[in-house]
Amino acid sequence: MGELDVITSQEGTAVRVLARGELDLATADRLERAIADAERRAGGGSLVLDYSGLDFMDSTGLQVLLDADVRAERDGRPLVVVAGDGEARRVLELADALARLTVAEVH
Amino acid sequence: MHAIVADADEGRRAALRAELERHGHQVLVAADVETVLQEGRRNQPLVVLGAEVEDGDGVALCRDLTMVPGGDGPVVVLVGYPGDVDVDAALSAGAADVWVLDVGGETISAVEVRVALARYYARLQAENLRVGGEFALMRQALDLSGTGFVLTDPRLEDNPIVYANRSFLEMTGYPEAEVIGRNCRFLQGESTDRDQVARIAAAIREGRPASVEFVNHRKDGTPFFNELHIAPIRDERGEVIRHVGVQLDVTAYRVRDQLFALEQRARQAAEAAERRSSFLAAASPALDARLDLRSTLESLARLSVPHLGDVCLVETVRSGEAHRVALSAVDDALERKLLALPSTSPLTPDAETALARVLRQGRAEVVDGRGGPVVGDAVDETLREHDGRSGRRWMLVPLRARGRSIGVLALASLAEDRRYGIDELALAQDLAGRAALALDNARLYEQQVEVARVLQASFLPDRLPEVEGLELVTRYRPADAAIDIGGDFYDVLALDSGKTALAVGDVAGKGAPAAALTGLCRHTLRTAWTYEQEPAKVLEVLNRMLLSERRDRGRYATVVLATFAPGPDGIETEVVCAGHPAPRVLRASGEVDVLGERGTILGWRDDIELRPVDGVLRSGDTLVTFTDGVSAGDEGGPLSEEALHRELERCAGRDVDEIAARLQAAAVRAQVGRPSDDVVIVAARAV
Repeated sequence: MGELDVITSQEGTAVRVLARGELDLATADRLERAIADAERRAGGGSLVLDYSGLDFMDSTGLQVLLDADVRAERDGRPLVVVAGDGEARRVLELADALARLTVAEVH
Repeated sequence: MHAIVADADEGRRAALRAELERHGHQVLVAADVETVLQEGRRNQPLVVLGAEVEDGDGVALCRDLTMVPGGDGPVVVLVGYPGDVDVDAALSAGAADVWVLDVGGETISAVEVRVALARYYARLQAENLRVGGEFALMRQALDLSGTGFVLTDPRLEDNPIVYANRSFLEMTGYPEAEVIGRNCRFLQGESTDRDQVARIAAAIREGRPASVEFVNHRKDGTPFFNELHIAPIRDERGEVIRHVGVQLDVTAYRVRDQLFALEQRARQAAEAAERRSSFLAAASPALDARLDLRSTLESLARLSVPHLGDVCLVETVRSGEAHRVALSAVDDALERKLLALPSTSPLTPDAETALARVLRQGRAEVVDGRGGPVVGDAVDETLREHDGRSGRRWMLVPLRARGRSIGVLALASLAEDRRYGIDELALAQDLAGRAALALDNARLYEQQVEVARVLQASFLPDRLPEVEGLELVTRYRPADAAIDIGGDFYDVLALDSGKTALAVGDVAGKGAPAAALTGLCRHTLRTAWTYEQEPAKVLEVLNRMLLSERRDRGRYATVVLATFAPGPDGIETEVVCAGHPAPRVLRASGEVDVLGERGTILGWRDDIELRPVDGVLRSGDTLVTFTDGVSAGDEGGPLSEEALHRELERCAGRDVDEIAARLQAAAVRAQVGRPSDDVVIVAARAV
């Protein structure tokens, strides 16, 4: 089971959640909690989900992201995803989610 | 200081007088008891009494003299030749000291040192009375509360204990005689935290209060958690004359705390596992749960030793068998021997072991092992070989859940004599309650696995329909752990239009909830085909169903649908992918094509984009669909689309069974290093 670093930072009005390492069933809970905290902090400001540092991501990680997107839509909060060019991008491409999310290039 | 001498021995009387006067004492030689009593109460004199005075008994006279209230009485010393004076009687009569003189000595040596010591001892006695008076009430209260209480005297060498209450003696198992006069460190042992000892030592040195908790040992060697509070007592000049130590045996709390923490962790892990069961995964909740159960029970066994027993066994009963699920022993060699025994043994309802009786009656028992077999021949005999004793005390406590006995916590003592009283029994029952809870949870979990198994059957068609012109092979390998029953499914359906529909999908999540949703997906697809002709429309129906099932978290699924119909050039096929890897076609020529275009994962948005693709399977072409490929770690993880593509290229010329088998093997290999996941492979070859 891999390790996952989750780092939350404030960048102007945006709150950025950086996930680094392996995002899977064992680690997704932690990321989910960090995102929930970040959403509270962000208020109406945007939330940046940075998946570019992931070495491994399974569909648990996809679910976390899609859930965050659904909440962002509901609450009118901008969500920006940093997909990088590794694992996260492949998974998001396969789900055909990349084209429908606001994706930032490497942050 | 003036001195009074009263002694029936004339020679000694003269010698005492001479020696005391030589050191500047004003000496009154009293000829009768009355004079001693009168003079002795004035100006706190030094009173030196022979074992016999002229008209009375020295010790009795000493008692009368020192009964003066207030502690400001005379300093009384008894004097005699060896054997003349009963030292204990003299001291308990209030004498400050007993001077034993050489027989026939013309003079008395070192009388000044003796006098100084006597005065010093007398002051201590007075303080003892005073301190004792101050603490008398507290001591009574402490004795009642089972709190250990000691006084030490820092002015005596090595700060020895000068008073210890009954609870302290009971707590430590030492008789008073082995405690008084010793420094408290005799309670420490190897497992005593040195830092805590250093903290206490520093507090004593600096004359300030301190509280620590550390492991101490009873006389029989049993460790206990000692919560120790110390505080200095000062005299009117500010000198520390005593340290008070209050001891609480907090072993029971510590053991419970540790167990509670373990139980909390296990529960949190179980809850987390349940929460996580809403998405496809790389971990095995079942394994986690089993590990949690095992570690909980093993910790319980370890914690019980040696507090509650030298050997601890946790036995569970199921289908007429006893299973030893955890054990611990004080002795490593013994533990290895016990571990080597069969962990399962038959258990008939009328078995005559004490263990069977405790299970039947559901009541805890303390047995001495002489009245018949306890756990069973193997264990009983192993312990007998170990300490050479035929009998030993056992405490057997049933593990009860939902009104049934599901096992027994068995604690045995080895050669050392261990007492199993109310406290031990209460603690053991507390532990047994926790073990039973852990076991019961694990069993509920297994029942959930059973439910999952039943549901799993609903994912897959009983048998595939015959499809003209098409050879269909399916391979399904469920994840290793039954509770990990994933959301992979496939279905093949003969449609009213004459076409054949193939569905391969993957519902996010694990366990029974995911299984239920998977069944629902398959059912929804089947129903949708009855009123929709287009694969994309069918997937939109499924998407709406998943959106309506959304709760706090989404319900996501990836699906690939394909329809097959015989045509002039071969089998005409239409493929639609929703968040799922596109099928591959291994052409008869050996080339591999991708058939299908990317589409939106289902359950996320209501405006999914699906892009149907048409193709033709000519004779010898094989279309392969599969689940997984969601991720693509180079080292382990689900088989990547690219890797599967390459594997398929190596399958040129092989028959369809072989192709499916090779792809499945490759997918399983790719999972090495990660918890296993479902694998579905469906291969369709145009004949």
